[in-house]
Amino acid sequence: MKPLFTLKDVSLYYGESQVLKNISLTIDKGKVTSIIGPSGAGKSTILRTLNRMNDRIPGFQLSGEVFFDDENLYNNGTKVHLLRQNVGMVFQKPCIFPKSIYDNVLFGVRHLYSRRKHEFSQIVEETLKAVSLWDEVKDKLNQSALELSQGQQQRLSIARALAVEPRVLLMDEPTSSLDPTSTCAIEELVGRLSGNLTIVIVTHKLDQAKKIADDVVFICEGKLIEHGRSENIFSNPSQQQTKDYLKWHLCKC
Amino acid sequence: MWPLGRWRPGVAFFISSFLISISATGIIFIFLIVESFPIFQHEGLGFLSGSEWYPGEVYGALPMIYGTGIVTFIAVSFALPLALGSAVITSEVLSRPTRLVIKMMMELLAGIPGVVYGLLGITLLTTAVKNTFNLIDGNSFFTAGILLSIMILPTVMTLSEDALRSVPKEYRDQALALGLNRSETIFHAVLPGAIKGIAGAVLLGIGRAMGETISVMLVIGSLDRIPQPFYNIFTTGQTITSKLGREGAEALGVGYHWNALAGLGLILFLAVMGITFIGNSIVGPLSGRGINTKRKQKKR
Ligand SMILES: Nc1ncnc2c1ncn2[C@@H]1O[C@H](COP(=O)(O)OP(=O)(O)OP(=O)(O)O)[C@@H](O)[C@H]1O
Ligand SMILES: [Mg+2]
Repeated sequence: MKPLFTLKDVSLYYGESQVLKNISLTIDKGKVTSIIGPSGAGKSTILRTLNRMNDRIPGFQLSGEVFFDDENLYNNGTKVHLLRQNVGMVFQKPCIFPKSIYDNVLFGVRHLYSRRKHEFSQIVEETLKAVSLWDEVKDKLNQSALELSQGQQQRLSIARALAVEPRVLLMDEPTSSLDPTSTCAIEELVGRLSGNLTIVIVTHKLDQAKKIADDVVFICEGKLIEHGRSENIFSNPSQQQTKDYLKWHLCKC
Repeated sequence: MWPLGRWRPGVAFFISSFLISISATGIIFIFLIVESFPIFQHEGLGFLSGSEWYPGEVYGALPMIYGTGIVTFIAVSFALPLALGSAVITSEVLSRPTRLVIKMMMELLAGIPGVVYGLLGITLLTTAVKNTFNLIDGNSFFTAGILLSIMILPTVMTLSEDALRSVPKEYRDQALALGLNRSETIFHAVLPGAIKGIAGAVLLGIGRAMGETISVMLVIGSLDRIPQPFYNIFTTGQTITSKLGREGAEALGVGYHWNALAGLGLILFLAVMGITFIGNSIVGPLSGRGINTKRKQKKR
């Protein structure tokens, strides 16, 4: 099957400092791909390359090519906001607007489908059900979303991303600020959503990657060290650096 | 040296400056009430609703109240869209160095004394208005309103820009990540978060426009009348401040004329105090929080 994303020899700079070094990588459709690596390795940077969220960081420069299907993302022709409607993103810390739960779910949709107003309440119900939040909030949709717990807010922000009906969901350490119960809920959710949706998730919890990922990408100091099936990487890594990282949680690259 | 302990001087300075400003405000307020009391006894509410003003006979403040109102309205109508537009561009589009230059210029402009604007007003603006609208006299409510809009623009702009920048960066990123384009992001994520700060900026601008004296005096023509029809802003008129500026010295302490001017002062004082108070209570706590978020973001 043809990969969904193809990175060809991608290097990324912020001013003088090179953050990604000659990365070539493919990401498969319908799979859960987990990016692991030590802090500062460039995990978030790779992820944000896929929906062009790095573009406006001062000194940003990219060489190489990034394809989404057949579209070269860093060609001048790409409409960035249309790309992001196809490639949704969930941040580490949920960013909830000071609005009702209902309006937060629709934040990305309202301006898109102004003709489909009658579908709004259905969209809200479906996406909140998809993230298992519906039963908890269905009686208080008009209350401020800021009153929800951190874990509920993160599930709400996933629902908000899903409401736009993206083909890909990028998640940057979505559970790192959550309690164990909420973490489990989101891990279960990722498993359920994959298939129709391609998911790329950054994590530095190895057990999480083991649990939910089909493919694992290990990067270190901006270099891709190893990429493969999850079971292969965790049971039988081919690179010494990967072995060291899995065992000691640190690496010399 | 300080027998009561080392912290005393600081506390003393704080308490004395606090007391000075409170009592100055209080004294001005009481002074205006006492000085204007006879005119309210003499004219009753007719002082507020009367439109004739002949010293020694009758004192009606309505033309001046109207003048202050209409001139402020014109000033805000022109300044607000311009200030907001340039604040959005400065905060959301321009690069950091350009933004800093613009902010510095705005703060410089905001500090230029009113009389300088007034001199530019009588030389350039009155002629321009006269020629553009084919008027006999370039002095008018409109001219004064435009001049005031130029004067309050930098303040409104720079405070609105602060409000926009105090909106957390996360809101912008989140909106962009959901596929909103740049202008949708500004409308749906940034402006709603800044609306309070912008409202405060506008109120402070209104306060400044209402209190500005000398530049208005130089371009308004100083005729105590409400135009016919009332929206004909291309006629000469009078504001509370221009009236006080012209007649204050000659009427000093002399009977009802003086009391009537003090009454005008009281009206202006209450209006400006009210608006500044509302403005500060909206802007104050919010902008404080905003500055903190801004600092945190710069560090990253
Ligand atoms: N806005 C930025 N400006 C300049 N350099 C940046 C910026 N964001 C990240 N970097 C640099 O890029 C490198 C990679 O950062 P990135 O955030 O991708 O790491 P990460 O693997 O996600 O780390 P973490 O696990 O801590 O989130 C780091 O060295 C970081 O200092
Ligand atoms: Mg990161």
